[in-house]
Amino acid sequence: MPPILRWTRLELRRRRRGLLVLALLVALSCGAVLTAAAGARRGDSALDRLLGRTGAAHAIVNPFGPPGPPGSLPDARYWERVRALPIVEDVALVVDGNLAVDGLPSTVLPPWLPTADAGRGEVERPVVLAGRAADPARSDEAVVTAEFLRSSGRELGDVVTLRTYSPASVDAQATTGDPLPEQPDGPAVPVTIVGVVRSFAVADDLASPGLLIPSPAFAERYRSELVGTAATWRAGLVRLHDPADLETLRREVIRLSATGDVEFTDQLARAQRTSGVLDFESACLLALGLAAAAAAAVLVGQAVQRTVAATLPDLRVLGAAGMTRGQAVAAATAAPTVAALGGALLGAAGAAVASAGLPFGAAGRYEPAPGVDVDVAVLGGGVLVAIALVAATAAAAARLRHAGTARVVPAPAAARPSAVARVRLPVPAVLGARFALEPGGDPAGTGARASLAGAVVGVLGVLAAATFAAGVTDAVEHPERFGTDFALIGFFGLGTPADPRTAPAMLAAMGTDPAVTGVTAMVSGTATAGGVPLAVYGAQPVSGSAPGLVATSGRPPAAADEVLLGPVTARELDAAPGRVVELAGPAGPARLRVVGIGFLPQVDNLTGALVTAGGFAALGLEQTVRYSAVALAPGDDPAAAVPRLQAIGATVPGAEPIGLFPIGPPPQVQELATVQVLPRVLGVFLGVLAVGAVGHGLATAVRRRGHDLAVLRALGMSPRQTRTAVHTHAAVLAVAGLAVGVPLGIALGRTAWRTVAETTPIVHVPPAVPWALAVPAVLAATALLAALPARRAARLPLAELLRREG
Amino acid sequence: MSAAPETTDVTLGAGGAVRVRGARRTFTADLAPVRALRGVDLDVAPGEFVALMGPSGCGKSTLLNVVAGLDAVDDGTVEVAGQRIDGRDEDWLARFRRTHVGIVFQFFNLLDGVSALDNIVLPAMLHGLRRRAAESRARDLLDLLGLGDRTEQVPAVLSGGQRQRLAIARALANEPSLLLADEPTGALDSEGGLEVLELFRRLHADGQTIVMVTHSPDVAAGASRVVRMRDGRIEQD
Repeated sequence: MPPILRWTRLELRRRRRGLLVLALLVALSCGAVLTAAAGARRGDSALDRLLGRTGAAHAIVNPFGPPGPPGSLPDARYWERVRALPIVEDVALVVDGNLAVDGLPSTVLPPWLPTADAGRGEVERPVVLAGRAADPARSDEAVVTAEFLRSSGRELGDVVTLRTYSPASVDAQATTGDPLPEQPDGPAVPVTIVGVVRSFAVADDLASPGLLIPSPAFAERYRSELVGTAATWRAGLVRLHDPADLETLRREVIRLSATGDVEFTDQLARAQRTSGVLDFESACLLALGLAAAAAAAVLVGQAVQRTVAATLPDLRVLGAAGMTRGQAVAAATAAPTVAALGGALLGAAGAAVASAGLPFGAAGRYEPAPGVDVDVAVLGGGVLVAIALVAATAAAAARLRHAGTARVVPAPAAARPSAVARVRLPVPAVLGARFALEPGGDPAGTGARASLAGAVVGVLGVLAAATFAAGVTDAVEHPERFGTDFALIGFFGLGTPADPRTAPAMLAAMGTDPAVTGVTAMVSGTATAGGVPLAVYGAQPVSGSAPGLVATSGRPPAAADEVLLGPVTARELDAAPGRVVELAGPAGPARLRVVGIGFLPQVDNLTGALVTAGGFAALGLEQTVRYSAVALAPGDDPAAAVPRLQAIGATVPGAEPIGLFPIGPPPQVQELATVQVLPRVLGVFLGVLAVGAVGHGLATAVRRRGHDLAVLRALGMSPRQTRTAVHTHAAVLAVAGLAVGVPLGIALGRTAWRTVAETTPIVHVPPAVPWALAVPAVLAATALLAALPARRAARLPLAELLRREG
Repeated sequence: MSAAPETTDVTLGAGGAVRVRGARRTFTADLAPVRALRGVDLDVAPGEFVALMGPSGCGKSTLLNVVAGLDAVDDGTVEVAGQRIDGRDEDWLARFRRTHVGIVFQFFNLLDGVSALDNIVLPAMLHGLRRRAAESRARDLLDLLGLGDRTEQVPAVLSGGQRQRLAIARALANEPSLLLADEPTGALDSEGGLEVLELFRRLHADGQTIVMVTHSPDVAAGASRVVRMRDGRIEQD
């Protein structure tokens, strides 16, 4: 061992520059790979960690109860009964209030405001990222999400003013349907921002300006201003002992309600959807890491081999002085391993620093502990793997090269001549093809193979990433792929018993507006499937394109005995187009044939069943139109269309108030938009990797085949023909890359996108990329890459090369 | 440096096979410039077999490379087969070599991974022969040099003597007017060296002009004329 240690010290001193470059290469590679791997792992677990730490609710239960006398809480006993269910761990009550904020859009307010009850238990306790939680006893405090500070420019300690409505105005809206005053007419309440929080229930959406959440004491103190004196609209965030009991909870909360009319939001399903997006993000990041690892393996591997090759001649001299082969291999391996140790540690430190910016995209909005995160398992494991790989590569290279000179290797008895040389092509073309396809002076053939692999993987990877990115872009730009093929959603009969004849007439009138391209009237009710409550929607196209009826597979129902199921419901019922399901309504059971899987005209558009108006009547459900979907011509401003259409509706005799709301892009669009950049980054990365591999391959081919080129030059091959040979080499790589990479890349990209489309779900439209552009692009890129090696090949020092022992 | 001739046509001219006048060539080196040729004059008549002898570093190989067009003189003129080759561009020199010069190297410089046959076919095709004709020529040459049964084998499986014979066959592929050989027996054992020397004698007897660089007086003895060099100059002719 002492001689090896001594040798290593010598090597570290005399080859410090080369070893430093090797260490930096290892550092760069480790940094990139470990950052991606740790980021992917962190992003993948962000939601689970957030859900665990905040005691996230599994469902939001919002019973529509009959209003009680002013000041009463008729639903108090209801929540006591829900809380008493053995499957329920806890319930946090929240209120849906009317509120505005001075100088900020009302979208900064959450859909539910916490009450004192919510502050009591362990359900939905957001993690505090900065500052502190709001004091539950003080109504003048609030917490915000991180995005709120970014978008509003506010800071911790700033004061914002909340504007409330008077109880009389709120009561009037609840009982008579009168709109609220344009300007809030209740008390103005200054609240101080005391902390930044995060939980699944109040997570920042990508396009949202963030949220401002008043203290629970605010809802208690201004209860009448928020929900009126009747105070009936109180919802519960319910956490279960076992999430598997969610369907039981759905049945029980309906059973316990006075009317059976309960809005049940499945937070688990939402979490699963979000988790899918995070998985996708992590997979993209991991793919990026793997691509970086592949690039690193090639680059670092070559550097290690060069380092070993440089030191072996000296070790052979020591061999003559008694150094054994094993000692020589160990000595040749030691210095690169030390360099790898330094580089890997530096890379790991870089990855730890870079973790401050991760996870990114959607995962970044669910990370419960943002900032620097040292993933000991990934970073430590990565460092060990990097060192082991470098040591193994160095040892293998040393063993191979040392053995190659220590013994006489017999000439291969069955050495095969070049097959390419037999092709009847001009000499430069034959030569170029040989360079591209045959190992030449490299017995392992790694150079030629790496170039070919680089070209194929590059084209394949870029095309696959581009195809996938085209799918993502198409989905992000077309909300209808997620079922949102309408711009406005209308609600009738808010707070008042609606006349079933009025709404269709109003919708028909609105359909005459030139900007309206389609109107569908919706009825909704609750049926059961296998004893489980199921939201059923009846669609009645009123005019135009019949919006709101989007199938991901099959088609929307056209007859009374046909049904379209939401993807989640279809999975739960194990139903597919062509099968028959039995739904039971007040009129009894009805057997309906599944004709499609698709989206439902609701916020939670993945759960429920869609039937025709006839099918709805056959189930015996109430026919009152409660919803409508209105599609507008492209480019028409939905916000501007609202008062116009409301005015048109108001002209119908007996017109009732209609709440028309522009419908934003579905959350899946935002989630996909966050990862839109990843396939592009991956594509660019693979493209750069391919350029590096092919460029390096062309350059090393000229260097390795320099002797052959010099011989042929001596035999009369002109510099121009020499350049042609190198360009032929590049062209063969390009053609191989295109021939294999284009079909495989498109197939891979489409398969990946189809998988994402089916799991998201999205109406799958095969993404199209202008792949034909890849042909001139790849040919031009390889020609450009070949220019310098070709120039070098044409200027080889012939006399010098030919004098060397070949 | 002398001015290059205007014409770029490659045609056999009248006069000697090689005519070198006042050739100078200096290489840059780390410590001091190396003056490899210091005003060399040399004439080789058609059909002559000239052996260039001299100690290591005297400029033999540089002179050979200059005559082959693989290296350029800094000053002086070089004429081969009646054509001025000094000052020509690389493309012209390449075409010239195809037609007029065959070269045999000490370390063979064969194309690895290519069969013996293709090692000869490729230069013949560079010369402009069609594949069939080039193969026919290559087979004839391999038969002539005793390698007729080795056509499909790659150089790696041939002995040193066989490799050098293959290299000579390749050099003769385009029926050059001038055969240049740089230490053709230097990498061979005595038996292989004798084989090659005998081959050169036969070629010379058939009228082939040969300029051969060698260290060996025994090998040089086979030549019709011996030129001795020292310190970049012709010492004895």
